[in-house]
Amino acid sequence: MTPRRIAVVGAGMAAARFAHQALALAGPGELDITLYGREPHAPYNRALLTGVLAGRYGATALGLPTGGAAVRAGAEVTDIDPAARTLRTATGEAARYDALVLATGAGPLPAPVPPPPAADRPDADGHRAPERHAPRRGVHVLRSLADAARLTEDVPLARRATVVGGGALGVDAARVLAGRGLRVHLVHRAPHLMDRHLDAGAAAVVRRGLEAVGVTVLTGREVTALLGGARVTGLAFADGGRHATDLVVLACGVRPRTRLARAAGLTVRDGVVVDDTLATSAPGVYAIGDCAEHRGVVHGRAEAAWAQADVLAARLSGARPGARYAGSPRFLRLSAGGLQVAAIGDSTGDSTGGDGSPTDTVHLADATRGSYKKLLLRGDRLVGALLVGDLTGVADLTAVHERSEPVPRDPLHLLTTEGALQ
Amino acid sequence: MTGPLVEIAPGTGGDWRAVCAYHDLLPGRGAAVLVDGHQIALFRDRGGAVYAVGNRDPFSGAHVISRGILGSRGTAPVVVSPMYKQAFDLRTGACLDEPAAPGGEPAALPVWRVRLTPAASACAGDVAPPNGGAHRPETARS
Amino acid sequence: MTDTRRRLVLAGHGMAGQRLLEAVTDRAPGAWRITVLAEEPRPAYDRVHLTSWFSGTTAEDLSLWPAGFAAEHDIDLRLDDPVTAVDRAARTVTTRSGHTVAYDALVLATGSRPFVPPVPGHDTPGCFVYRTIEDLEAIRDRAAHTGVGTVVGGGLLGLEAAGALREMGLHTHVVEFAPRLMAVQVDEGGGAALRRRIEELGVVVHTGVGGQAVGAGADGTVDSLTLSDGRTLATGMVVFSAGVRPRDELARSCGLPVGERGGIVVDTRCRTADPHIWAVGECAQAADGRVHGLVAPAYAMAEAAAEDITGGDGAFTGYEAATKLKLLGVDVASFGDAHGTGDGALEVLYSNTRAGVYKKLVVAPDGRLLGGVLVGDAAAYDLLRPLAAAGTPPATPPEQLVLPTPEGGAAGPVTLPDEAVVCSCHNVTKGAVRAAVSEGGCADVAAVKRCTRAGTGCGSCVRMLTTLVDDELAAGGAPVTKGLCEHFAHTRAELFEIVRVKNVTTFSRLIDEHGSGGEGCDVCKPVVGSILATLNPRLGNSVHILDGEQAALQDTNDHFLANLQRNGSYSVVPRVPGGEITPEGLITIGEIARDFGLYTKITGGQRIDLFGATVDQLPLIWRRLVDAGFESGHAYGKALRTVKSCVGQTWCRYGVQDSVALAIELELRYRGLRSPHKVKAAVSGCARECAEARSKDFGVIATSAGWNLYVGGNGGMTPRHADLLLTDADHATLLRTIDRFLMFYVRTADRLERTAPWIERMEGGLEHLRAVVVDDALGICDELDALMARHTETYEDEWRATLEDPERLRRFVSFANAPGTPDPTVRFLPERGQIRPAREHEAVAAR
Repeated sequence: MTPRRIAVVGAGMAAARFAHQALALAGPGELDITLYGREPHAPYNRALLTGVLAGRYGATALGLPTGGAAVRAGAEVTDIDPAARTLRTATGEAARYDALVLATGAGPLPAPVPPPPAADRPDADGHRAPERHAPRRGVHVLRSLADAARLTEDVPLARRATVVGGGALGVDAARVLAGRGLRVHLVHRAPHLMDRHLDAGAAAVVRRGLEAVGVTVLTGREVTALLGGARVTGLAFADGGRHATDLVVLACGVRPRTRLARAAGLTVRDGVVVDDTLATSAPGVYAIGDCAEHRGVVHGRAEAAWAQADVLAARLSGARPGARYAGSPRFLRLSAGGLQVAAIGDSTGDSTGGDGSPTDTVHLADATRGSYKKLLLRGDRLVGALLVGDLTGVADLTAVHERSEPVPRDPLHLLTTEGALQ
Repeated sequence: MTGPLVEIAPGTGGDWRAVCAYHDLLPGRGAAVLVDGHQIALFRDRGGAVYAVGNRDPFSGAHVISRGILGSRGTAPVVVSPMYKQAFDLRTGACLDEPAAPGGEPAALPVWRVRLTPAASACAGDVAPPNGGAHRPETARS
Repeated sequence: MTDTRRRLVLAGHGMAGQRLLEAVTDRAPGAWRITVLAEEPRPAYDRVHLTSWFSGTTAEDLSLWPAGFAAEHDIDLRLDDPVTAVDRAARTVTTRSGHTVAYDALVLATGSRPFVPPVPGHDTPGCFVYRTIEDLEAIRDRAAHTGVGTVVGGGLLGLEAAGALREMGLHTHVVEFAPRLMAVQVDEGGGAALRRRIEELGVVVHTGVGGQAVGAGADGTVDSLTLSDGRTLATGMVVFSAGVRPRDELARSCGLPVGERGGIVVDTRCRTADPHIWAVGECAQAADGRVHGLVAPAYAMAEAAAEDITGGDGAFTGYEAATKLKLLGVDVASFGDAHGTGDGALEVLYSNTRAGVYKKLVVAPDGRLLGGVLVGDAAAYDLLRPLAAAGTPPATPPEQLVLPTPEGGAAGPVTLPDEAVVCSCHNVTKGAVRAAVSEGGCADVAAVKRCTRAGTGCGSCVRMLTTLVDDELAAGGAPVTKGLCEHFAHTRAELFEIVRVKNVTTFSRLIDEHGSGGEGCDVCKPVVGSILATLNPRLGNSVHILDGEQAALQDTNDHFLANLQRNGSYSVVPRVPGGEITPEGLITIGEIARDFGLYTKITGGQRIDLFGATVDQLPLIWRRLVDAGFESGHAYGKALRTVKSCVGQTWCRYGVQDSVALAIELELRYRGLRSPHKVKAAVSGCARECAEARSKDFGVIATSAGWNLYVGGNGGMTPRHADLLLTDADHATLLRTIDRFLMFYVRTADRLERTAPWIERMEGGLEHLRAVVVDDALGICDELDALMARHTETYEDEWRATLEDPERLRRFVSFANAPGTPDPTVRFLPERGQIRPAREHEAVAAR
C-alpha cells in the first residue's frame, strides 16, 4: 500500500500540530507528510518568543514535535497547482501530493499606517521592494526567531525603546524590554490598551502594572511616520507631536499570508476561506491556522489553530472522517511576568446578543491587589469573562463558556471563593 | 342533655336563655352561639369558669372570636383573636393591645352575663360563677 | 422685677433652629429670653422624613416641637412672621408684620429655598417645589387630577419626590441634567445601578437633559414639559427639585459677607463677621468653605453655635458627608471621599448589574479606607462608614468588604473601635452607647435612644444599635429573657427535651410542673401542642393528638384543619405531592369547587387552594376529596407544606434525574411532620433549578452523579439562599440526611424559627449542622432516626380521621346552639367570574 502523500505549506505551530496528530492517528505507513517551511528552523512555539527576548528560553527550548514528519526548513513553497496536484519550492524542488495543507500563518502588519497604494502593497510576508521602504536600523518586528535574535542584538545599542501597538504582543514586549534595562514607551492608537479584549477598567489595571515596571504608556496616539536616517531616531504622531526613540518594535497586528492561495485561484477574503471540513475552494487543498478564514473569522490564536489541526488530522488520517470544525471561542491568555490576563468570549461586551437580551455583568475588582474580574452574562449563559491579576477560576470559566453551561442566578462563586465579611 | 346548662341574659333585664350544655364546651376552647340574632362567643377555662363575649372581632369585622385561644396575661383571663392576635380581657371585653380599632371604634368586645343552671341530674359543685369571679376548681373533668 | 436675661432671637425655625434652641436651653437654662421668628405657619418639623407624609405620617408626627417646650423655657414662638430686615447697629430685627425685636444674640437659621430653573412656564399652576408640608399638600391635591407626574432633578430629593408620586399612582418621569442620577453622592457605576433599579419600578429616567419649557393646557394648568433635546413629555404635574440655594438675603441686606456661591460666611464657631450674629445650617457657608445640605452637619453647627453663645468652647470644622437612604425602595449610601479624588486613591469594586448592586470603596495606597458608594445593598454601611472615619486600615482585605452581604447577616460592630461614631446624625460613638448600657442603666434600645439621642435622626444606625445594646447587655450578665412566654421560662428546645425525657403527655401537666401554672396563652399552647404531636402522636391512650385537651392547644387553623381567611371563612388545600396531578384529580377538584361555590387559585406550592368554605361545609368538602383519593395538604399547620418539583428527566431535555418521583417520595414521607415553623422543600432535576430549590428549607438539585442537598433557604419576608450540605449523594444517603436534618430542627429550634435563622443562630453554623447530621458528631442520629420512623409509621390523614369520628365532627358548626345555621355574616360578591369576600360595609347579595 503506498502511503498517502500530504504536503504541508509552512512549518509553524499549526503545521507541526497537524503532522503530529495525523501521524499518531494513522496506521504505520499510511501517511507520508512533508512540511515545507520558509524559516531556517524546525517548527517552534511562536507564542513564547517574548520569552526568548527576555532571555528566559534559548531558541532550542521552543521546538515542537512533528511526529516523524519530514521537515524541509528554508524551502519556501513558491507556487502550487491544485489541478495537477504539484508544488514548487524556492530551492527548485518540485513535488506531487495527494493532499495539500496550507499553514502559511500570518505576518506582521507593516507600520506606520496608512498603508501604501494597493499596487505597492507589500506581500504579507513583509517583503517589500527594497528601494521603497528601506528598513532602518533599529526598527523591528517580533514574529520569528530571527526577529528575536536581531532584536536581542540591537538592545545593547539602544537607550530609548518604543513599542508601537498595545495589543497582547505589544504589552508583553514592552514589559520584557523594560526588564532588560531600557527606557520603554508603549504607544497605542485606541483609548485603552488591548481594546480588542479588555474594557477600560481592566486595561487600567494592565497599564498600572506596566507603569510599575517602568513602562510609560501613551494611549490615544497614532504613529504616522518613522523618523531618522540610517537608524531610526524618532516617531511622528498624527496630532503633530514627536517622540525620540532609537529602538522601535512594531506590534501593530498581523495579516494572513494568502499570496500563494490567491495566485492559485483559491477563494480568499481576509484569509484563505475554508468550510467546516477545513477544505478550501480547490479540491485536495486545505488550510488551517492563522492563514485560514472559517465562517468569516480569522482566529489568530494558537488554541484555534490546534483545534483546526486536530480536526483535519482526524479526517485525513481516516480516524474520524466525519470530524468537523465548528469554530473556536474567543480566548486570550497573557502571562507577562506579573501581568496575568485571561479574556474569554465576548469579554468587552461589544457584541450584541442575538436575541436582544441585555448583557448583565458581575464585576469584582480590587485595585490594591491589581485584580479585575468580570463576568458577562446574557440570560443564564456566560457570554464572556475577563480576568486580570487574579486568575482564580479561569479553568472553570473556560469550561462553562465552552460548554455553554447555564450559570446560576448569582454566579459570584465563579469569581471568588471568599465569603463576605461577617 | 345531661349536666348543667349555660344560660345567657341578653341585654339588661332580659330573661335568661339556655344556649348549650356545659359539657359541650371544651376547657380552653370556645364555641359560638346565636341568640336573637347576636353572635356570642362562649369560653370555658381550665378552672371551669365560663365567659361570654361578642363573637365579632373589631379589627377584621369577622365573627371569629369564638375560635381564638384562651390564655392569661398576668392576672387577666384573655382570648386571643385568631385573626390578628389581639388579646381581649374576658371579664371586661377590653382589648389589652390596642385602644381603638381601625375606623375609630373602641376595641372592646361586648360582654354578656352568663350563668350555669343545674339540670335535673346535675351535681352541686359544678357551678361556675358568672364572668370571672373567684371560683372553686372543678371536681370532675369531662 | 425687670427681666435681666439677655435676649436671643432665632430667625428661622427649621431643624437647625430647633436644635439650637434645645442646645442653648440645655446648656444655659433660664439664662436667655428667646424669641423665635418662623416663616412657615407651623413650628419646626422633620424635613428629612418629609416624604413619609405621603404614606400616612401626619404633620404632628413629623413635628420636632415638643409639647410644653415653649412654656418650660419661656420661648416666644411667632409663626408665619419671618424676619425681613436686620439693623446691626441697633441690634434689632424687623418682622414682616412690622414688629421690631431687640437682640443681644441673633442666630440666622433661615435654611434654603428650592431652586426653580427659570424656564418658560415654571410658574404655571401644576408646578411645585418639594420643601414644605404646604408643598406636599398641594402636590397631593394635584395628583388627584392627573395620571402623569414629572420630577425635574434626579438628586436625593428629586428621587424622594418621584417615589412619592409613584406611590400615589402616577406614571412618573425623572429628568436630570447631569449624565447620571444622584451625581453628587454616587459615581457613574453607582448611578447606573440606581437607574436600573428605578426603571424596573416603572419610573422613566431621562438623564443628560434639562427641562426647557412647561406647557399648559386649555384650562391653564400644566399639561406638558419640553426637554432640552426637543422631546415633549405629556405630564399633568411638574415638581422642581433641582437643588437649593441658601437663604442668605438677610445677611446680604445687612452687609454680612456671603460665599461665592451663596451662604452666610461663618467661622468655626458659626459666628458671622458680626460678633453678635451667628448662622447655622443650610443658609451658612461653614468654616470648611462648604454649604452643607444634610441634617447632621446642620445639627453640629447648631451645637457649636450654642456652645459659643453660652460661653463654651465648641467648634464646627467640617463634616465628611455620609448618607444612607432608601430611594424608591433602593438602598443608596455614600460616605467619605466617594469619588476617589485623593492622590493615588485605588478602587475596590463589586457590581452585579442584574441584581442592581454596586459597591465601591476608595482605598488609600497605605490601605486606609477613604470612602465609598453602595447602591442596592447598603448593609455594610454601618461598618464601613465608621471604618472610613476611623482612619486606620481595616483588618480585612478590602475585596471582602464589598462582597455581597449574606442574608440576615448585618455588619459586625464588634470590630469597630470604641471611638468609632455609630450615629452620625448626633455624633454618638460606640463607646458612648456601651456606657449608656453598662453605666447609664439603659436596658434596651429605646432607653439608649432617650439617653444618647442615637438613632433618633435618620434612623439608619438602629440595627447596629440593637446589636451593640444586646452585646453589651450580655457581656454585663444582664438576663436576656429567652423563655417562651410569661408561662414558661424554658425555650422551645428545652421544653422539647423535657417532654421527651419525662414523657409528659398533657399541657396541663407541663404548665403545672414546669411552668407558671394558670391558663397558658396563644404563644405556649400551640408550641406545646406541636411538641406533643411530634413526640406522642398516639399519646399512649390511642387518643388523637387533636382530641381532648390537646384540641384546646391549637391555633384555629390547626383546630379546624383549614386556613382562616379575612372574613371568617376557611380555605381548603388538598395535598398534591410533588405538584403532580391526574386529569381526573383536576376534574374532581373543579367539580367540588363548583358544587360548593368556592374560589379556586393555584398556589406557589404547586397545588390548588379552595376558598370560601364556612366551618359547616368543611367536613362535606373533605368527604368529597377523601373519596376521590385526596388528603389534607397541611396548608394550615406549622408542618411540612410541599415539596415542589420541576418536571425532570422524564420529559425535560435537560433533566439529569427524575425529580418528580423524588419530590413525591419526599412529600409523602414528611407530610404531616409538625415543626417549629412551616417547612418548604423542592427538587430540581438539573442545575437550571426550575423548582427554585435553593430558596427552600431543604432543597435537592440533581447532578449527573446523584443529588445535591441544600438546607436553610427561605423565601418570604427575609429571603435567603440555602447552603450546600451534601454533594452527589445517593438516594439512601439523601433521605437519611434529610430525616436527621428535619428532626434536629424540630428538636432544637425556637418557636416560629425558620430553618435559616436557626442555622445562623447555631454555634458553628452550617459546619456544625453538617457534623451533627452527616457525621453524627453528637451521637444523636439514632434517636433522630427513631423519631422520624415513628412519624412515618403513625401518619394518618387528619381529614379522614375527623370524618370517621362523630365527636370531632360536632365541632364543625358555626353555632353550638344552632347546628344547621351557617354564619350569616360570611357573604360573597362576584369578581372575575368567581367569588370574593364581601366587606362588612358592602351591600350583600345572598351567596
